[in-house]
Amino acid sequence: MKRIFIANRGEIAVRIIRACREMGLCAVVGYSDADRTSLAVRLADEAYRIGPAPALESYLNIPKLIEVMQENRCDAVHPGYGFLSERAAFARACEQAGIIFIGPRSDVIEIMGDKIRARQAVNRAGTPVVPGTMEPLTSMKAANAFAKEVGFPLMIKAVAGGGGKGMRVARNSAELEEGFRLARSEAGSAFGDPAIYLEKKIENPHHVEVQVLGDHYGSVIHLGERECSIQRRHQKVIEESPSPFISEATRKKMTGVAVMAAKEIGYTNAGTMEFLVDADQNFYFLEMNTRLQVEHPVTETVTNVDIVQEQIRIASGKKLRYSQEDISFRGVAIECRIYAEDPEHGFVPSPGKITGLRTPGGPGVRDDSGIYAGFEVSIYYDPLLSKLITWGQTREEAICKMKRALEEYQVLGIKTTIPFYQRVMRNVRFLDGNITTSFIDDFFADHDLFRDHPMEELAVLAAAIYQYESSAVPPAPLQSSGNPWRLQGRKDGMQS
Amino acid sequence: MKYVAIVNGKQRAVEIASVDGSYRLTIDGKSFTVDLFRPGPQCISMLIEGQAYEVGLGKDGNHFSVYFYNDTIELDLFDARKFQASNTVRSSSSSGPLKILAPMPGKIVKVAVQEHSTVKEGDSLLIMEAMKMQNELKAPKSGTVSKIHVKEGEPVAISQILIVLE
Repeated sequence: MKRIFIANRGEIAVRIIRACREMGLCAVVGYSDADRTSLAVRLADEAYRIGPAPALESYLNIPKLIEVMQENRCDAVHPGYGFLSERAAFARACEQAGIIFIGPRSDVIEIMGDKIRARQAVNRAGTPVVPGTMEPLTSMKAANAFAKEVGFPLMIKAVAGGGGKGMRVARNSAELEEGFRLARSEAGSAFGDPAIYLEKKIENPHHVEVQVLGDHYGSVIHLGERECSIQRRHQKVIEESPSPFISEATRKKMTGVAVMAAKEIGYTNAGTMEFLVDADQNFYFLEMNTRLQVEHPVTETVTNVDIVQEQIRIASGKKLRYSQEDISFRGVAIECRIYAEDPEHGFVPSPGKITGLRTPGGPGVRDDSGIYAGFEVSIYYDPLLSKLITWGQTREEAICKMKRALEEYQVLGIKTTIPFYQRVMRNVRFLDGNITTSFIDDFFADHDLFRDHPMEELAVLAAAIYQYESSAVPPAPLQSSGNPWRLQGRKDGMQS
Repeated sequence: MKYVAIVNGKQRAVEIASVDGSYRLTIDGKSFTVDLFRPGPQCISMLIEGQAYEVGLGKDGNHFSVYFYNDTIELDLFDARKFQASNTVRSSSSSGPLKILAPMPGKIVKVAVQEHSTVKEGDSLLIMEAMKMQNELKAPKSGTVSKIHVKEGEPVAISQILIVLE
């Protein structure tokens, strides 16, 4: 394996380029018309156009990607996350074209992508699943019968689902009837498959997930867990490892069942088992992500395992370099996802040109970024700009580093979520560590709205100076009679 | 030079003068001496009695967005002489037509109202999509939709007029 095609963009394309470089592999990036100016293309060894800006015609265009990979003699493809990373059809097309897909086999992706088959598969291996229907629901009668059996509230979910689409809460039979109809139609239009199923709603859960790695020789290990309970509208925004909530006993059980389930389904490469954990530390399988996760750096930071490099090694047929005993966990890592969104106006996307950029550095800080000063953030794709990760011996230390690094991080010209994270990092409930998935939407958002603005006067000062300077007559330019060194010399001479 | 700033609903009187390479400012009579350095066109480093501050600054007409490390403060700044005049214009226009502008560049996914229909404050007007996410624009006041300038599926630029409410 020498030439790796990167079928993705943004910060994750840069992350994969870095792994290729460190392993002496050639990084080949596919880019759309909107991404010719991207950092990934600037850093790549080779880059080839894959189509126009809309993702359907470029990053999601399977025949075109296969054609470009074959034309440029790529041995393998890394799909990153999102886009085609969990499409069994893409993995299969690669397998048929003789290109190694850096991820699990297409049939495993297919099973885990079907929420009901995934529940059945892991349940066979002894993993607890949220009580729910084990078959797709076709009638209101069956839905009502299930509601009678387990009681409200219920979650209505799409079998082919993901990203919150086709997902609804039903707190009574009227909501169930309405939700049943709407969820089927939403799922039909979003995924081309109207099949839905019901699950008991776990109230105020923690979201905790286990990272696993499996090779082609039956070895599977785990790299511990990540707590991803800080979410905004079902989208993770802050993640950490280890979880500040679960007990050592729960951790042992959860990582154990994750490894068992991965073995049972013949899982290879990097994957993540997501669990919901209730207040009493009962945990239930939610879904498996058969790809690299956005938040993988927190695990890399506490384990010192380079997950992307391991993915490439496993895909090239090498045995796992680590046994479970080789993995040790050190300190605490936290990640903030920096989005181009305006936190003061309902998190509306804020595309545009980055006119100024200062990135954080110093001890314990990692910035996985896809931007540079002068880069134009496009309207076509996800607004994730970068991920900021900090490490500390303790959670308190990691949070102090995060506050310090966020202060250094300055993105000008567009709005970002940086100031919002600063405020989360100072919230007592967050510092406490007992955070559930409803924290931001149900509590922090309102709390944040009514915060004090101690910087108000300083803002007025800055604006007044800016206005004064831009309306003042510009000073006459220096005569070009000499270079500035000589001018300075003359001035010094006059003073002496 | 005298300005009037409107910040979080409050009106503040600001006066500024340049003295010996520094700025002397007063806000409602409270004075500040500011040593200034601009590392970039939208960035200001200020030293105020030894305290160091750095802000990012965005400007659109009279509207400023001032970014600190943990907060973004929005304010309007007017030349004090022109403020009185513009104030009368604004208050008389607030009962007139209200233009709903695109808060970001993107695509119109859905128009939820029709011309001449009446809406209540908070009613959905249209849904825009940018960066994979859909955003709902709501009526900031009750009224009648007098004009719709966009169609479903149409791309729009930032600050483009979408809908006029009366």
